[in-house]
This record gives sequence, C-alpha cells and structure tokens, in this order.
Amino acid sequence: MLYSSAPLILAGLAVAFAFRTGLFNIGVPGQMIMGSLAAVYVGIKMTMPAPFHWMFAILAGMLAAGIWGMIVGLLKALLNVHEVVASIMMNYVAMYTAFIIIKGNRLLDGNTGHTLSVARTALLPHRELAIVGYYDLDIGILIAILAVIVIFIILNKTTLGYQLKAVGFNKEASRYAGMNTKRNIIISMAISGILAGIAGAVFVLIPGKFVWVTKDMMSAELMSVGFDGISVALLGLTQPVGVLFAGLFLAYIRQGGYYMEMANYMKEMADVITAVIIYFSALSTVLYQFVKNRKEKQRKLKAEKIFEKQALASAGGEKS
Amino acid sequence: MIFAYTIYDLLNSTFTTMIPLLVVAVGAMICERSGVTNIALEGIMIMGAFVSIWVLSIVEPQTNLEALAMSNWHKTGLLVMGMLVGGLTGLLFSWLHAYASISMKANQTISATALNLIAPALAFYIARTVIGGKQIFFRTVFKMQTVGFLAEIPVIGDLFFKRVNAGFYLGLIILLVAYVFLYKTKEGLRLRSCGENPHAADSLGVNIYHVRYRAVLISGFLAGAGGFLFAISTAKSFEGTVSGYGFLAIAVLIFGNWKPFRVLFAAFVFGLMTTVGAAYSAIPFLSSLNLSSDFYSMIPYLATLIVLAVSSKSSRAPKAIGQVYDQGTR
Repeated sequence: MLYSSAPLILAGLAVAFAFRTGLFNIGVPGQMIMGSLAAVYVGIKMTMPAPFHWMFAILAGMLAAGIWGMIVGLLKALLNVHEVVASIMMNYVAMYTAFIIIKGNRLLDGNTGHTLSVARTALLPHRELAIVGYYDLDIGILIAILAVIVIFIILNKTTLGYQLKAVGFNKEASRYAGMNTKRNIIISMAISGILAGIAGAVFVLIPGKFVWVTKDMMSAELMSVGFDGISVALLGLTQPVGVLFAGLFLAYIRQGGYYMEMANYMKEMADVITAVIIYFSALSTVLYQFVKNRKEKQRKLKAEKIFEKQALASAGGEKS
Repeated sequence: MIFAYTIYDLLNSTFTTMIPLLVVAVGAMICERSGVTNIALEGIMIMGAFVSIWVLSIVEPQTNLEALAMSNWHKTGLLVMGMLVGGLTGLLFSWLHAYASISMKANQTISATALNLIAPALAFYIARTVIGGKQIFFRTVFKMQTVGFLAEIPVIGDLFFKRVNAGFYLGLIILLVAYVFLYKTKEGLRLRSCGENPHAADSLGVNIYHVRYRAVLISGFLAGAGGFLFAISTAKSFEGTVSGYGFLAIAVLIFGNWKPFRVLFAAFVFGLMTTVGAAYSAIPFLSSLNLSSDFYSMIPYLATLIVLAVSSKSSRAPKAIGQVYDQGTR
C-alpha cells in the first residue's frame, strides 16, 4: 500500500497545487506519461553510478512533465484556451507521442509490447524481499512526503505561493495589486507538471514496471493513476497535508479492490466507492454553509438576548 | 482495381463521426448558455451508450441473417429507440449533476468530475455483474444503403442519402430545434439571460434554479443520445468508453463560440480531422508520407489544440458560466 500510494499522493499534489491557484489541471495523466517516459529513457539509455542514475531519471521526468504542463499554462495565459479542454487534449497527444518515441528509439521490448526494463542503477532504492520480484517498500513514499512539505512551504510561506493563490482567488484584483497574472498561471502549471512528472517517474522506476505501448494498457496503468490524482486532490480538500492522507486512503481502497478481485468481487467496486465519496464531498460545501449559518444565527440570537437584557435593565433603571 | 477512396467516402465518414459530436455539443451549448458548465458529458455519454446498447442488444434481431435483412424503417425505429433510451438514461444521470451544482451549490467542476469517475466504473460493474463481460455486442447495421428515391438525385443524393444512418438527419433536426428554442422562444431568452446575468434575470421574475435544472437535464438527454450515436458509429460492440468525445464536444462548443451554426461547422471540422486520422492509409497522398499510425491517431487531438489556440482569443463565453447562483448574494 505504501508504494502504490506514492504516485497517487504526488499526482494528487499536482492537481491540488493547480487547484489552489485557480486552475483545474486534468492533464496530470499526460504529464505523468511524459515524466515516466523521460525517466525510462534515462533509465535505459544511460549508464551512471547508482545514486545519481535514479536521481537523474527523476529530474528528467520532472523536466519533461514540467514542460508539458507549461504548454497548457502558456496556452491559457497567452491565448485564453480553456485549460480543462487543452489539458485533456494534451493527455491524448502525450500518449501517442510516447508511443512514437518508444517505438522510434528502440526502447521497445519486441515480444511483449512494452518498454525494456530500466537499468538496475536507475531503480529507486528499495527493500527486496526473499521472494523474487516481490518487494514492499521503496523511497517513493519519502519523496512524496518531501514533496508535500515543499509544496506546503511554497504555498503558505513564500511570496510566490501567496501570489499564486491570490491569482487563483481573484484574477482581476491581483492584477490590480500589480501581480503578473499571466506569468503566475504559467509558473503554476509548470510546477503542477513537475509534480506530475515526479509521480510518473516514481511510478515506473520500480522493479518490474514498464511503459506500455498499447492504448488500453497505457490508459489502464498510467492514466488511471493520473485521474485518481484528481480524486485524491479533491478528497484532500486541495491542501497538501490533506492530499497526503487522501492518497494513503485511496491507495488503501485500491489495494482493497485488488484483493477483493481475488475473492471474486469486482475491483470496479473500488472506483464506484471513490467516485461516490467525491460526489458527496462536493455536496459537503452546503454542509459547511449550513453549519456556518446556524452558528451565525445562534450568535445573533445571543446578541439579541444580551441586547434585550441590557435594554430591560436600562429601562428598569430608569423606572427606579 | 484497388478500392479508391473518393471525396464522397471521406465526407461520408465525416458525417458519421461528426453527428455524435454535434448532438452532444448542442446539449453542452444549451447547458452552458444557462450558466452551468457541464464537463460531465463524457460520463453521461458513457452511461447513455451503455444502457441503450444493452437494451438494443436485447430487442434487435438475434441472428446475423435477420439483422442483415432489416428494412430501413426497422433500422430507424431501433435507432430512435436507442436514442430515447440513451437520452433518458443521460437525463437521469445528469440529474445528479444538476442537484449537486444547482440545489446544493457545489463546485460544478468537482461534481462533474465525480460523475465522470462514476460512469465508467458503474458501467463496467453492471456489465460484469449482469452480462458477464466488459463488452456488449450488437448486430444491427444502422447505415442505410440508399434512402428511397432521394438517393437518385445526382450529387446531393450521393452526399447525403447514401450509406448514412438516420441519426444524421435527427442530429441536424436537433440542431435546428435548439436554434429555434434558444433564439426564437421566450424560454430560450430566459435561459440565455441566466447564463449572462442571473441576478438581473432573477429580479425580472425568472426562476434561475428551474431554468438551469431544465438546461442541465436537456444536455443530459442529448449527451445520452449522443453516446448511443457514438457507440453505433464506431464498432459493433460497446466497451465502456467514448474515447474522450464528451470532452471533444466541449472543445467543439468553444470553437463554435457557443453559437448553433458555428457549432455545426466546428463539429464538421472535427469530424473531418478524425476521419483523416482514421483513414489515412486509404488516402494516397497521406499514406505516401509513411508516418507512424500513432501520429494519425494523434491528429484529432492535436488539431483540437491548434484550433483552440487560434480561436480562443476572440471567443466569448457566457458571462456567468461556472458560477454558483445564490439568491442571497448580489
């Protein structure tokens, strides 16, 4: 559960970060594809000593996905293209681009329809169990937690984060206050893309993982994690720390679905459950409002009572 | 002589691909003009397509021979039934979106995303529980070889009345009806005013909630019907996906600048792109370029991006779009 939660958390963080800055980055799946592609490319084609190799692979993933996200940001900022539609189109473009690159650069394992395995040095440090091919822990989760902390600091403790949030909150007002809204949109999408890139890299740099070159397998593997990122972000109320726990939670449900399938239940059940949770979390805004209104009312009532008492007291005072 | 891919064939396939897009985009147009974004169209299409194809697979002729021998009227009847079933499913499903985003004042993007997540999962779940597999197969060939005497008119007959299914005409009728509804009726004026300035409309006695509910439900109906049209236009089975057509429809809507006949033009352009992407190997000029097939599969999406990049600068969305309407605020 911990290792499957790392990409989820990172993808969720990517969505949440963009959301805080007023952008809905539904393009995380595509950015993840680019990230994992770059990571795999570095992993297969280059040779380097161990600690640098996987770090460099992740960096490459960050760069590729960051650029991919920035394209959407550029389109939005300069040409006013709706970011939701643009990033969905970018998802498909990313998928086919990945296929073309994989097939064109001899990354393909001819027999199986997926990429070759990455070099051992490029794998994330992990603990291997005695059973071959099965392992349960790598440093992906640590990377995810680190990313959560960094994003938390950026959002809450820096000028950049303040500006990004302000632009998300009210574009006109922040422009009036002298912020460069266009630059902020581009930066925000790039950061979001970078996070998605880490997610993609972490997702593939573990033993026994590949990038597939069939549409079905690709969307079943990488893209579904990306879309789950949206669920994670929404469940975590788009707060970095919330995303961390939402990611763990969703990984738990997913894993549960996987085990349920072994017991002849359907794993789609897990999807249904997640979706229903998100639907109701969308409704929860009303609940907030309701509670707030009640508190307001009670406070008013109290204030009125005090006022009446005072009035009575003063009236009584006059009489005597 | 190898089969030559004529301009007729190209346009013919274009019509087939553009109609689901057109129908869904018209639904999206009505919804967005009332001020509610509906990116749940993808999910609604999936649900509509799933239920209607399921019903279709039950009521259609059960052997291939019978299916081949069907008359045009029989086909059309089944098609209208499919659209109705898909539409009703979509209507019910979109009710969830309407309830969340209008009554409960939830964020429209989030509730729509939830619907998009539910739909494929639920479709798979039901399919595997009730039918026992992910795919639903059907036999009916909806394309009519010729449409009566109309097919004999020289050019027009070849273009519009050969190898088309009745959905083509229905789609155009839906577009016309939507145009008349939006621009020539009182209801349509009210609906548009809700999308531009709901508070002003409210002050004049228009019930914003009702109007928006109706708009979302109409778009749900059209998206469900569009899902059915999509499913019958591509293959002989439905596998729980509509290949991003719900989102493409929104792109069509934006490219069409939220106006009925520009939406028609946009749908045509997108249909053409998709067709070129799918049929490149039959077009001599393109197949001689020797590019990988993945590149052509990418074309419709890439073209969408480019078209949006060019056209979005001047596009004018309804003013109040995506905003939750709350009577208490001003």
